[in-house]
Amino acid sequence: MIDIASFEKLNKDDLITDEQLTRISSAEAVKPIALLWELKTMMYCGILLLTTGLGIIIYKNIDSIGHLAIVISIGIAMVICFSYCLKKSPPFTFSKTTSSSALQDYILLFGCMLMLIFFGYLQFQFNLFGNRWGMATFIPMLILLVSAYYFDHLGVLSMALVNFSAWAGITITPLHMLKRNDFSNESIIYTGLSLGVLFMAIAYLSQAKNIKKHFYFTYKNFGAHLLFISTIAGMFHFGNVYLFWFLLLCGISAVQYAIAFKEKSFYFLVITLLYFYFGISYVLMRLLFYSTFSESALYMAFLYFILSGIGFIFLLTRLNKIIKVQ
Amino acid sequence: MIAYNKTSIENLYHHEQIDEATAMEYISKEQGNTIKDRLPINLYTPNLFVKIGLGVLTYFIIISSTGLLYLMLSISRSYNLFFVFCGMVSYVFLEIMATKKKHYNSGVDNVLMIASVAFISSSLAVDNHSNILLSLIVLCLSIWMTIRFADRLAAGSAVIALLAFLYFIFSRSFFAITPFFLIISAGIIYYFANKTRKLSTNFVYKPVVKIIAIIALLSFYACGNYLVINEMSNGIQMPTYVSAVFWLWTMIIPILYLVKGVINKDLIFIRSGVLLIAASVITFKYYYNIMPAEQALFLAGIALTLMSYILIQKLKKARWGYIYNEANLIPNKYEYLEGIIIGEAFGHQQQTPQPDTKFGDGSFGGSGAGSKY
Repeated sequence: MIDIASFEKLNKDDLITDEQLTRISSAEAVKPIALLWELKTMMYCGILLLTTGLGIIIYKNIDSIGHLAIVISIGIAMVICFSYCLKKSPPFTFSKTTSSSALQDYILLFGCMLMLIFFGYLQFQFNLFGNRWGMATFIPMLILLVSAYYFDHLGVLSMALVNFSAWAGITITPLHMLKRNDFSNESIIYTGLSLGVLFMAIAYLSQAKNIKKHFYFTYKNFGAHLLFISTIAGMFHFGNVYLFWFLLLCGISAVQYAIAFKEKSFYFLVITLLYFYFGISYVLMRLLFYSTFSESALYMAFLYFILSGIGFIFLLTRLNKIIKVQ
Repeated sequence: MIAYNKTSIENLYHHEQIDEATAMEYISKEQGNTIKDRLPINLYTPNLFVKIGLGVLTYFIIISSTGLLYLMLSISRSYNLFFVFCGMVSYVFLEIMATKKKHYNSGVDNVLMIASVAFISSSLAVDNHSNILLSLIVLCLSIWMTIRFADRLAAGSAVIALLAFLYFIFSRSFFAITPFFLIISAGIIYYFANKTRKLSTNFVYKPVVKIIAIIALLSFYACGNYLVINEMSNGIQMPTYVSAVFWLWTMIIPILYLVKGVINKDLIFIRSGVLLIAASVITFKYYYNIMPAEQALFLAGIALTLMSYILIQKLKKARWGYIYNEANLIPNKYEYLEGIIIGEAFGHQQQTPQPDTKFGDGSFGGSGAGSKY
């Protein structure tokens, strides 16, 4: 919010002219208040409540409403949402579209959620795909992916990637990544690694080939976290060859670090450093407490955390300054 | 009093104002940059993510230092002295980081501040259960942190600690009128904070005073909210007319906030009004179950979606002094975050149990699409 007092002070110090000050204060007096984020948040909450409530109502009243009626009405609503978006959306391009409105974004989101419910319902009740469980996740995922690209929607892209990983057997939403996955299962670690590599590759390609360049961050974000978490899980799980996994972590960190530095991305710099710190601390703790538990080892451990913490703080502060200066 | 260079903090405030003015095209970008160059900031405030990283590392350091000290001193009693000592050490480091290293909202100073208040106040909680003393200590420390470091979190915690302190003192002897007393106190705090905020030209403490006003405004409602009152009264039954007063308060205040906000074009009141309407609906739902939760969710969802839809359509052109203008949207840094949040909230709606799908064994899907993997 503009604070006129601040500009009066600037005027007094001769940093802005008298005309500018009067212009600012008179414009501020009649300026309409922008309710952008307020209305967007309201819409978001509304759709979230609506779909949650709808899901539970259907679940509870399955006996009385009848499956066919439910499926048909969800299907109709879904078709309405998608056709609205098709009618309103600008023609497809490989670059970022600018003309889509927030309203259309949310209607697309609503349609996509209905689509997920629709296919889930068909599979659960009518066994549409039979025992081919993979297909039941794969087809909605494909529709999500196509919609994300066609309508240029980052949120739907995230949904598609989450569903893609679910199809491959792994949960990647940030809050559930550690809780829902059983990282002591080898196949999950390998799946995570391959997905991470795949997402990173797509991220790179989308930027290099200029195919929806702005999807880069979303792919890279999922890819990087998957790679780091899978290698750290590998260190935990494969006890006797954990140093190999640690080397892998070092390699991935080095690459990520170089990219982050080149792109001046604080976010990736910080997550790379924190995952690497976690990995190196694990290795040192393992070495310290390898033979037996001793009090001196405990002292060493505490000292290590204090000193390394201070060291990393200095490193981060310096890097922040270097990137800012560049 | 302030630990930082006063001009730097003031300039920080002006910089934010200049950014807004350039976004509104009141002044050109070039002029904005020239002005900014003449108002140097000698503070270390890193990027948000670096801030989080620094905060996490500081937290690790504090935890391990406490552990190390505990081992070295081999303490078996007088834990409270130990905690006070830890709190004081944290404070000394906070002073060093603020005055020597110029850390201002860098993650390091924030965590150190929380640690020193938490250590010192928890030392009391070890064997002494006096709520009055505890809230008093938190209040004094928060006030000091607010004055010394112009910290918003400390300011907010000072308001809440003050109200808690008043509650513990007052509810001992005048239990029945405590809520009214607290409501009046919150109102007085709001009145003075708001007045200061509007008149003051002290740019160092302006953001802090704004937080105080917001917290006081929310407390003004909360101190009369039926659920809060009922929880605080420890099971003592209220007479019907008293509970009617609090119900009325719960229902009317949010609407008054909203109306006042809309008329005066005050975003703080509009946002609090909408937020508190939701709080009041939840309060009502807690006591009177007129419909199952899922139907309430469904109806509320429809109401919210429709309302925002109508408002968005109506406000595409400026109307009644409000506007919904996407063209004016400053390209925001957190656009990507929005996508991730959507993925988090909506992503795993449907995850059908997959008994034995494995990545790489190609056993699923008959179509060409699936066999690629």
